[in-house]
Amino acid sequence: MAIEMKDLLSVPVLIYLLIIFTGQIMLFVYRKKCSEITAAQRKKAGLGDKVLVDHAVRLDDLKSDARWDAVVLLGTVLVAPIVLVLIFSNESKELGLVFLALIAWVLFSATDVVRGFLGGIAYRALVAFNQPFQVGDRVTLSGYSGKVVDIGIFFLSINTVDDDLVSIPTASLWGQPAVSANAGDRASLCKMTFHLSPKVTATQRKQTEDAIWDAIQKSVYWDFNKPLQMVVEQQKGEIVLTARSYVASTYNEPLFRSDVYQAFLDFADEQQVPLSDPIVI
Amino acid sequence: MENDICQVRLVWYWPEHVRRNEIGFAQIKQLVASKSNTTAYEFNLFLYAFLCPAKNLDLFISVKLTEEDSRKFDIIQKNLNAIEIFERAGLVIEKQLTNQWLEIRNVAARATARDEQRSLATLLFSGPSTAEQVATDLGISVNLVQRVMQSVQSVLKTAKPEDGCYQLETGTDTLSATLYLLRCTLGIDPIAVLEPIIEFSEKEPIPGEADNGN
Repeated sequence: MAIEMKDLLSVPVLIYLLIIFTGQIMLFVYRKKCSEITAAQRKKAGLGDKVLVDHAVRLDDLKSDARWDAVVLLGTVLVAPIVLVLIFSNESKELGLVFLALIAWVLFSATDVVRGFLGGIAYRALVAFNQPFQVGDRVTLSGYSGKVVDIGIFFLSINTVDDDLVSIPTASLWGQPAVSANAGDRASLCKMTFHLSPKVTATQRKQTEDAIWDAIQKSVYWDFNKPLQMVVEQQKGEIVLTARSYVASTYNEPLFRSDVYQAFLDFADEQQVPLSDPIVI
Repeated sequence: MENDICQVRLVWYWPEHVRRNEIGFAQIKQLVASKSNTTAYEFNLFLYAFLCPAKNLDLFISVKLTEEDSRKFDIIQKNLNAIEIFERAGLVIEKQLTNQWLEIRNVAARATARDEQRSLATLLFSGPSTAEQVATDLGISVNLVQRVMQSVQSVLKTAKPEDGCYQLETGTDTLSATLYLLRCTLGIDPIAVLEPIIEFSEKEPIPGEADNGN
């Protein structure tokens, strides 16, 4: 029996579409309500807008939110039609056809906006479960480096060190490598290089190494629970000391580097340690 | 090998005035080398937490602490959880603790309070410090240190010390608030390092309780 267009808009199909939209709207409303109640309670307690918790705890919260988003989305898009098919077994053919037609339309004739929408939803779900990175991480994506502030459906937002907000279309991130400096951790590796002149004596080199080591350990930004390494290399025209240490909070890396480099330069000046020329750090 | 290990009792105050800087590190190494295993001496918990991973001090030192100090540690851990619940949901579990937290939070938790946070971290690890010592360690002016100490006086023994040394108050509420602040702002967490150490270290019973046990 031929299926007419009007049959495609049967009750189970309408219920299916309603479930998808209702799922998203209900999740949004629930989150908004919860955050309003919490904000009111916190304001009453004398707290500001910013919630001051350990970075790891905040990331756990964000991971949990992302996972629920993904579960609701996948549940409404993939599980709901199966349940509807079982309930409305007589009209299952129409429901299946609508589902296939929807996919075909997206692949061949959907607008960029719709493709962007669906691509963004899929990327968010993937990031929620695979966790290549998450909100709060310092990442490099599409050539832009900074802190991820939001993984939206249409855009992923990164706050760079210059306080620029870069919005990258989420759908465009498929197939692109993502580099995360801290991968969900609070601390991150900080590599610092120190360039000495080849005329430096062995004693000066050893003293400089000790001074850098002490400067790192003295810094309040240093994560003392992680390893610290120092290596020496001879390169063309200079001797390079490389320190690999962890900054306790990844967002404080510039301050940590500043502490250590200041101490190094002060030491070099005090002890007349020759530095390489020109200095490229 | 047994004879090479120093006996140390971990305490909440700072019995040895060694600083977290290159001179202090050298002093600590001398201190450890000079103490015999028959002489139990006292060492600050937080400085120990720093030196364990930083200088592998636990390889040369055997620690113990009193039951009372161990209980204080448990209280501080509970306080940290209580502050977190308060931050997330605004729920007050202990009023005095919450008030202490709010006092220090309003001053030292803002993004521009970098010197306040660093100063508190310096006092936590290096103990009682003069303004000159803090200024030298942090590379800031003495005048700034004095102003910073005035702003964080809620967690200090006194904002204007007669002996010239600023010192952190070691009560459970003030220590908890300070530790939580440093964990969330600077990311340093000596409690996480101390937890397994305290769990597995030897405990000295409190004299009254030891007698009751017999």
